[in-house]
Amino acid sequence: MSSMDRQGLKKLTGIRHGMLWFSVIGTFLIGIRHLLPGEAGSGGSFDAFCPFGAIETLWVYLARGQTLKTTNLLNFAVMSGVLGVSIVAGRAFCGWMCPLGAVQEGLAKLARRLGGEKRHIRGKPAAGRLPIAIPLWADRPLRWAKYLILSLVLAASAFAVYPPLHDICPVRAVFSFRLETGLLWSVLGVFLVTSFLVERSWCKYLCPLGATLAIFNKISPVRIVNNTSHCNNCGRCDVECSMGIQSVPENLRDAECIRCLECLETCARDESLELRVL
Amino acid sequence: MPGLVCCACPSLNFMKIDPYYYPVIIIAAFAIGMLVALALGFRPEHGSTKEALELVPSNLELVNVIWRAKSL
Repeated sequence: MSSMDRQGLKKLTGIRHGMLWFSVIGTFLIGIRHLLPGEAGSGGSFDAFCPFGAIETLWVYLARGQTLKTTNLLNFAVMSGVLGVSIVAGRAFCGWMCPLGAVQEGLAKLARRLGGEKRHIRGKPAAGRLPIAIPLWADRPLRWAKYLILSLVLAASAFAVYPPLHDICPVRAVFSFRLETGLLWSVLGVFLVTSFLVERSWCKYLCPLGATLAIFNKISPVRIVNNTSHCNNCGRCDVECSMGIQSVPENLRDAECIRCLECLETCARDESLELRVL
Repeated sequence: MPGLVCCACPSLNFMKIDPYYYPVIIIAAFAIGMLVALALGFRPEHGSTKEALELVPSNLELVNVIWRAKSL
């Protein structure tokens, strides 16, 4: 890869951050809109813009033709957009469009500044204390928690009136400006602290939408591939991976991959990692 | 894993994508997915009790009419 191409990939990271912060601003605007009095504040609840709301209300909608309170048909439209991205490019929504992902990346960047300046030095992790690396023996089982949460939400949604995650949703806690309960304040605090301490902790361990989209990493046609003849196993991509995937070149279709292309950007070998269709 | 390479000209690799197109692909896929759902009636309608799936046949009929009008 020439230095010019490398500069181009740096710009791509900038575009990704731009898209993430665009989604943050958009979500904040939706939150502000619902605080306005009268007509400006009408037009569906804050929850109606959540793609996961469609999964929460799906069972009730299919069984009774209604949606859970605070959700409506717009949830299905937003989820359809997210599914469009996932069918084409796997969990790219998580890496490129999720506002919670943006907040977590911002906090992890702040943690790295305070706990250790560089992320990697020629493939070796930098000596910084933050963000904390969860040991593998705990990391692997904890990642199954998000699938458990998804199963519980699906089961609970059949009997629910409100979406099961309504009172503990971190998106509401961070963006809605309506922290009406102590529980939501607690969720906000726990989310911010854990995101600061552990990089993308919500995405890795708890996000039920990520668990839903994980299957698409196995079938999406647009993906990263490894040219084994070019890779020298330097390990820079392993260190750079915000989702903590081990041996990135061998696990490019891992369910945890959020297709952020940071591995592509950090790779020092020409044509070792490439973006391809099929 | 190597991608498909054209037999006549091995330097041409049809399956490789310029990473610059990646954001465009993502945004386009999101927009198409959302527009399809909106076109099928998955949108909140104030004062309406009609559900989206009830609207699907009429929406498909509308698409059919537009398609036939275009082909004439």
